[in-house]
Amino acid sequence: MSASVRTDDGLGTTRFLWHAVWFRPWRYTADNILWIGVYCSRLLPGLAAQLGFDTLQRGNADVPTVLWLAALFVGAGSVELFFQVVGMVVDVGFRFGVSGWLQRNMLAEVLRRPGARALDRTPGEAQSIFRDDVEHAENGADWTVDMIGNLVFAAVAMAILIRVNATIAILVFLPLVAIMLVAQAATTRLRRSRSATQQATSRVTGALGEILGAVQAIQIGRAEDGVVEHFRGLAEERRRYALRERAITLVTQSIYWNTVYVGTGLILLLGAQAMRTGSFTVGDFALFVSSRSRACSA
Amino acid sequence: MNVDRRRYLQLFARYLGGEWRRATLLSLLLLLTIGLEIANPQLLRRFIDSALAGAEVSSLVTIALVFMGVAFLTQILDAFARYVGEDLGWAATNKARIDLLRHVLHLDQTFHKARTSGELIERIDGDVVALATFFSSFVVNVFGNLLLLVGIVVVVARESLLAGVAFLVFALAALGVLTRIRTVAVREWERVREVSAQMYGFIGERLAGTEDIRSSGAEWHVMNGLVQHHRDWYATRKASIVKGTFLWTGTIATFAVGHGIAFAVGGYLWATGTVTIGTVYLLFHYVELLRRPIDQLRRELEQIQRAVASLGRVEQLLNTESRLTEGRGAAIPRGAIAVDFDRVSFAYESDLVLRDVSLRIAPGGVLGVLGRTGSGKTTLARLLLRFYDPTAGAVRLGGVDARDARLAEVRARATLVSQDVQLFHASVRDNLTLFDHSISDERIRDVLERIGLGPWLRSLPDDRGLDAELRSGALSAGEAQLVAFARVFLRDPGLVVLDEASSRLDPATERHIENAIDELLDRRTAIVIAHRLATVERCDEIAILENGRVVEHGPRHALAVDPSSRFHELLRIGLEEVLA
Repeated sequence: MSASVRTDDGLGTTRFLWHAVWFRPWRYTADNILWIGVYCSRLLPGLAAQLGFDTLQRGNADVPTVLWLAALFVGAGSVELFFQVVGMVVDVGFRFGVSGWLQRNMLAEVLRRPGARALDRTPGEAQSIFRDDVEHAENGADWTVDMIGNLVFAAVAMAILIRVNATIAILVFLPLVAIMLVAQAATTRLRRSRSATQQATSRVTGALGEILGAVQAIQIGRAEDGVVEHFRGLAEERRRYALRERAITLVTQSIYWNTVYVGTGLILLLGAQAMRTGSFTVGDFALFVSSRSRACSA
Repeated sequence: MNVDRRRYLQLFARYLGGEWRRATLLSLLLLLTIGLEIANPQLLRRFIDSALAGAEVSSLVTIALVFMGVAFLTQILDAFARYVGEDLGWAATNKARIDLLRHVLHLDQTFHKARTSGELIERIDGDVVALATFFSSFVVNVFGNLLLLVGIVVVVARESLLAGVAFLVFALAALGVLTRIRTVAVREWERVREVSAQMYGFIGERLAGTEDIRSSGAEWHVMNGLVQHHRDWYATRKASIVKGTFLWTGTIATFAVGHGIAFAVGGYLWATGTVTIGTVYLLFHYVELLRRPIDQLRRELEQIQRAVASLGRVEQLLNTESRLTEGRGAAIPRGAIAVDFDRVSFAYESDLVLRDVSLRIAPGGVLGVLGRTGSGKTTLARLLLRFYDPTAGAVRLGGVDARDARLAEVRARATLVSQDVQLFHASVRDNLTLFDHSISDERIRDVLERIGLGPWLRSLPDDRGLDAELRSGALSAGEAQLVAFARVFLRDPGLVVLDEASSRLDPATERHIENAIDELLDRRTAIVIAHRLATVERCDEIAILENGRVVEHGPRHALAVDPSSRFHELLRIGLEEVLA
């Protein structure tokens, strides 16, 4: 970022990020609090399920109680929804604040310089800095909000789950981190394979452009069939690359979904004994499964 | 619409028919995955109920392990099914792309004149994707997800009719609500793009004019403008986010209600003693399982609309027919052929480009055609290759009406060398043979040596010779012209139409080109659209065109010495000046 958004006093990336997020401290703080709320409210449906199933399991639930518990799910969803909407709205303000501030300062700086050397690059490049690099900066600043929200969510979720059953919580959620790291590595691999597909694609469209731009020459040379064969070769090559890319995506996704489902099995496995003796309830199980899938989607 | 649907089905049959093996495999995989997905939660119920009933730990562990195994298998099968679907999609679309390209290449010039190549690329590479999308949308997603949805509802209904009805109502309502929200969100997003494009346009313009802004002291004004644009930008971004959140949160809200419904129905059944607590959990779990099919169905409904439009365009293109009807197959004689324009008129749209042109060239003769731009020279040349058919009269090649011979025959016996040489991103060999693999390397080398491209071939990097990739810029204009000649020699036609380059070449290549033209005209009939005196001197006869009419035609020697002829006049003033 420091390389692309150049300022005269040469701010480092970290300091730059700090400036970007902290130039309006209240907005940043509010945004953070709301997003912690957004993430943590995702635990509410699980807690509602825990309460609901535990009440049922105790065997003293009549129909009105059941309906109240059902309403609890809707309530949990409403809280989640509230945080999400307000969080988004405040966030767009925060994000716009960062972008607007950067763009105004950059334009003012450009206009302050002597006309002839106002830009050290072409106007096109400069415009892309105003658009793309500012967007990166905006995303970077916003990323800190996401990061903090996720960390707090993880801590709160872990605290709740450990209180329910420490063994299961630790044994189930620690591998999760490892698996997510593996998936992350696969994503890097994916990026490389994607660029191969993109290259193959640009060869295909490039060839199409050449061919369709030379229709007359092809017809004169009676080369229609030969050209079509040439195109077939390129199209098949693209197919191979695209399929390879797809395979990697699918493996990554598979790892992810297996983490969710096989993880549910793991909870069963570890909870078998405890559930028999009643120390691990159906409600606890519902809470674990719910938190797990929320953690994966976070 | 019904007719359309039948036509689309034909399109499918055409491109997917050959893929039935993969399609069957895909369907089997899908069915299996869906079955496993619906069955697995039953194990959860079994586990919960057995655990609460105090079953052996070993049997609980077995259930848990089977659950994990089935979950794992489901994921693997699902991934495999998706891979097969993707493979199928690529196979079908590539086949369609190739068909479309072949079709387009056989369409006449009238079609191509009316379209940019960008437009055709979009048809061939872009719209074709709709075929795969339509297939994956319909078969894989809509069919598969509907099956999953119906399967869940049926399994739930078997537990309790009340629960089944509740699930069905919920699924339909969720689908309806989420689809509606989506349309609103997409529209807003387009507005944001529009407003930000305006804003970046403003910034771009100002960045390009910093000097003017400073010299006129308008900095304050510009900054004010930016603030104005920012205000709009913020307002639309906010509006779009607010509406976009509805989409996002729509799912949250819908499934919160879904969980509530499942719990209410399950809890009610539990309280009245009809079901076990494991069953209540089962219902709860099935709601979660509905999330994916509902989410995907919603998205697919939108994609299908877009795909239908694309399919329509693909279909239309495939149904466009060439204006040139294929001849019945009359054979044009071998060797140099006689050319006969018999009272030919040609109108492009309503413009009469050629008027009653009659010209005759004996086999092996060389006719020079002179005339200003727009006089009809190029059209004359194109009629010979049957790019168009004459509006009136006939063009005969070796006594055969061009319309009676097959197109391939016409273009095998007659060819055109023009000044712009089309090169392809392919090997040197493919560029010379135009992808005709039946021509031997020996012959290619032989031709290259003859026309003076031998040294050039040997100068190619890495000694790869004919296998080297022809890079743009690797050829000078003169060398490119020689490549065009090489293409003609490799094909050995009986008639050559030479649209001569009007630009000047460096003397060394020019000498090569002169030699090549000598060879080219040897034992062939030729029509030369000449721009230079050197070329005109090779002609036996001269024809001068003006406004689509032949205003002068005769032997070159006779015209050159006749002071009253236009040709004489042209030679006096200077050919290059008049015809450039």
